[in-house]
Parts: sequence; C-alpha cells; structure tokens
Amino acid sequence: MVSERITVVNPSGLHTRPAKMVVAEAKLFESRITVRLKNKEADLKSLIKLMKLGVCQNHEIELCCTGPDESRALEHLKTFILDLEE
Amino acid sequence: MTGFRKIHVSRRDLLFLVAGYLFFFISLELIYSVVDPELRPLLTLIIPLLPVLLIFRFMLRARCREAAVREVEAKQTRLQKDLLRTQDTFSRMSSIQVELFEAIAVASNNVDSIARSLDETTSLVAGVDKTVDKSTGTGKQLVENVQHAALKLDRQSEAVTQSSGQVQKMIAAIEELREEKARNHEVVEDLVQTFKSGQENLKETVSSIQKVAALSQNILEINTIISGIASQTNMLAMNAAIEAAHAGDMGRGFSVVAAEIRKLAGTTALHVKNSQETLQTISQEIDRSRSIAERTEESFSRMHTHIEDNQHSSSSIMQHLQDHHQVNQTILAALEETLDLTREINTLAGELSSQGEQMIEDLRELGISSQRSRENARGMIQMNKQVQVSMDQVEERSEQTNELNDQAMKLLDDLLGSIQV
Repeated sequence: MVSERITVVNPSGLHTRPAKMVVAEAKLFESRITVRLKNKEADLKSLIKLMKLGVCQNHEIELCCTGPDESRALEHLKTFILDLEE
Repeated sequence: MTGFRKIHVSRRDLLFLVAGYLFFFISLELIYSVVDPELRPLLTLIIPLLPVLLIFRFMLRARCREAAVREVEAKQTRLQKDLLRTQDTFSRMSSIQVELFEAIAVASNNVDSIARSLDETTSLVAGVDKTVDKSTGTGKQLVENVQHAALKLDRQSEAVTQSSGQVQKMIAAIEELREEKARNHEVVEDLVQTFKSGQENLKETVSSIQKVAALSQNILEINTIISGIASQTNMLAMNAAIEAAHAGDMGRGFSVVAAEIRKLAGTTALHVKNSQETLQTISQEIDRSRSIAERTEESFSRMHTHIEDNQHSSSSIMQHLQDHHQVNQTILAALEETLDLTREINTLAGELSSQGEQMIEDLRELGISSQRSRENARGMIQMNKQVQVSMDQVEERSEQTNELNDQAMKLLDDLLGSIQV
C-alpha cells in the first residue's frame, strides 16, 4: 500500500464534475483506491461516496492505493487532482 | 402515363440480366435434349416468355431494391437523428445523474446525520428518563418534606401564639411592676428628701448638743467661780464673825449677819456643789448624747449612701424595666409578624404541596411521554437504518446506472461513428 497527503487547490474541491473526472481516472486502475478526509474514508471509484466526503478547496486529503499498479495510480491521481482547475 | 416510373437499372443488374439470358438459351438446348418431344411445342410457346418474365422480374427487383435503398437511407437518417437525440438524452441523463448523485450524497449525509441525531436523541431521552425518575423521587421527598414542614409550621404557629400570649402577659406584669416600682421610686424619693431633712436636723441637733456642752462647761466654770465666791464669802463671813466677836456687843448683829452670810455661803457652796455634780452629770449625758448623735450621724451617712444606692438601683431597675418593656413590645411585634409569616408560609406550603403533587403527576406524564419518545426514536432508528440500507442500494444502483450510462454513451459514439462512415 502506498499513500500520500495532498491539499486540494481547485476552487470547487472534489464536487460534481471534478469528482466525476477523478472517479473516471481512478477507474482506469486496478488497485483499490481510497481517499481519507479527517476521520472519514471513501472509495475513490465511487462518485457518490467521494461526493459524500465533501472535499473542498484547501482540504488536506490522504490518497491510499493498494494493488498491482498502486504506485502508478497514486502518482497519476495525485497529479490529476493537483492539476484540476475547475 | 400515370403510375409508370422510370426504373434505374444498375450496370451490375444488366450484366446479371445478360448473363442470365445467355445462360437461359444455353440451358434451353439442354432442356430440349432431356424433355419428351411431345412437350417441346408447349415449351416452345412458354420458354420465349421466360426472358420477358425474367426481365420483368429484374425490373421489379430493381425497383424494389431502389425503394429499399431509399427506405434504408431514410431509416438511416432517422436512426442517425434518433441516435443523436438519444445521445443528447443520455448526455442530459448524465447531467441529471450528477445532480442525482449530489442529491443522494446530501441525502445520505443527512441520513447519517439523522442517525447520529437519533442516537443523541435516544441518549438524551434516556437522560431525561433518569432525570424524570430522579426528579419524581426528589419531588415526592419534597412533597413529604413540605407536608412535614406544614405540620411543624402548624405547631410553630401554635407555639408562637402561645408565646405571644405569654409575652403579652409578661408585658402586662412588667407594666404593673414598672408602675409599682414607679410608686416605690416616688416613696424612695420622699424618703430621700425626708432623710435629708432628718440628717440636717440631726446635724443641727449635734451642733445644738455641742453648744449645750459648751454652755454646760461655761456653767461649770461659773459654778467654780460661784464656788470660789462662796468660799471667799465664807472666809469673809468667818472673818466678819471674828471681827464681830472682837467688836463684842456692837458686833453682835454683825455677827448674826456674818453667820447668815456664812450660812448662805455654806448653802451656796452646797448648791454649787450639787449644781456642779448635776452639771457634770449633764455634761456626761451631753457627751453621751453627742457620741450617740455622732454615731447616729454616721449611721445616717451610711443609710444615706444605701438610700442613694437604692435610689440609683431603683432608677436603674426602672430603666431596665422600661428597656425590658420596649424589648418585650419588639418581641411581641416580632412574634406577631412571625405568626403572620408562619401563616403565610403555611399557606404557601399548602400551595407548594399541591404544586409538588401536580409536578409529580406532570413528571409521571413526562416519563410516559419520554418512554414513548424513546420508543419512537428506536423505531425511527430502525427505519433510518432501513433508509441507510436503501440509500446504499440506491448509491450502488446509481453507480451502476452511471457506468451503464457511460457505456451506452460510448456505444452511441461508436454507433454514430459507424453510421456516419
């Protein structure tokens, strides 16, 4: 398992369209991917669960990837989330 | 020529027609060779019609094909439009799904919040139950205490009434005593005045006795002088008698006078002596009287001191009685106020007791309501759990729907691409 903490910088956080995009990206990987905000955790491949977390701008989240492509998934998703502009 | 339409025959159809015609003639020779000769005339009549039929058939097929092609083209166009509309619908559905996801996320979070609130409500209601039980116990104890206090207040009221009566009696007794003491004080005042007068009289008496003593001493001195005069008179009488004796008859008369004078001197001396003895006795009595008077004066002085002390004491007692009277009046007023307050408290205790009983009844109803609330909360928790399960299923189905939607959209894209190609 690999994990890394990042701070969400895009204005709308992981809501609606950005969340849908992130979930679509997460589904490209075989690994199990979770995101943790404070004491709540959600499957990054589930749009509703991700939206339930209510990740906003400047929230610090922890990405955890477990599986055969975990390192690649972590790197890709970290970059993808940090590059979100919407 | 209505109903006649120009038929477009493709080159391929013509080739097929020509090839078929050639094949027919070749085949005709083969048929003639195998068919019964009697049937050949009939075949000769029928077979020439076959190419015509073939041509008609080809023309008909060409028309049908053209119509089918047009129909296919129309259907393709319609299908393309339908697919575009479907794609648009799926796209809108995707947007709606995103909104649905948002709503589901909010609803799910709300359901979770409701679950937490219900848990909190349940524990609060449990706390309310405990508080109600405790308050009911406290309320019952309070009512008992209030009723107990009311009984004690009744007794206190009686005691205060009795005390008030006793104090009133005491005030009356003290007032009587004060009046008696006032009269006594006046008597003491009179006594003091009388005593002062007596003391002054006594002083005057002592002074008078002292003067009498002095006068008695003077009288003694005068007596001594008179005694000396009597002695000298006696001597003179003796001398006169002697001289009268020398004078003989001439002196007889003088001798009698001398004898009388001598007798008078002797009598005088005797009286003086008696008088002196009497005076000495008087003087002794005066001394004794003076001594008694002085002791009496001392006694009077001590009595005066005692009377003054008594007077001061009497004044002090009067003042104390006055103070005591005022204090008693204050105590009486306080007791009456206490009695009024006790009655008011007793009334309040009665009200408090009935209010306490009402409170216990209210608490009992509150307990029942609380019990119902707790049961309702439990029911709501169960229902909320079912809702949570349903929400999870909705989430899962929505995710699946979303995936299917995405797949459908991708298929539509592919389909549209293939149709356009």
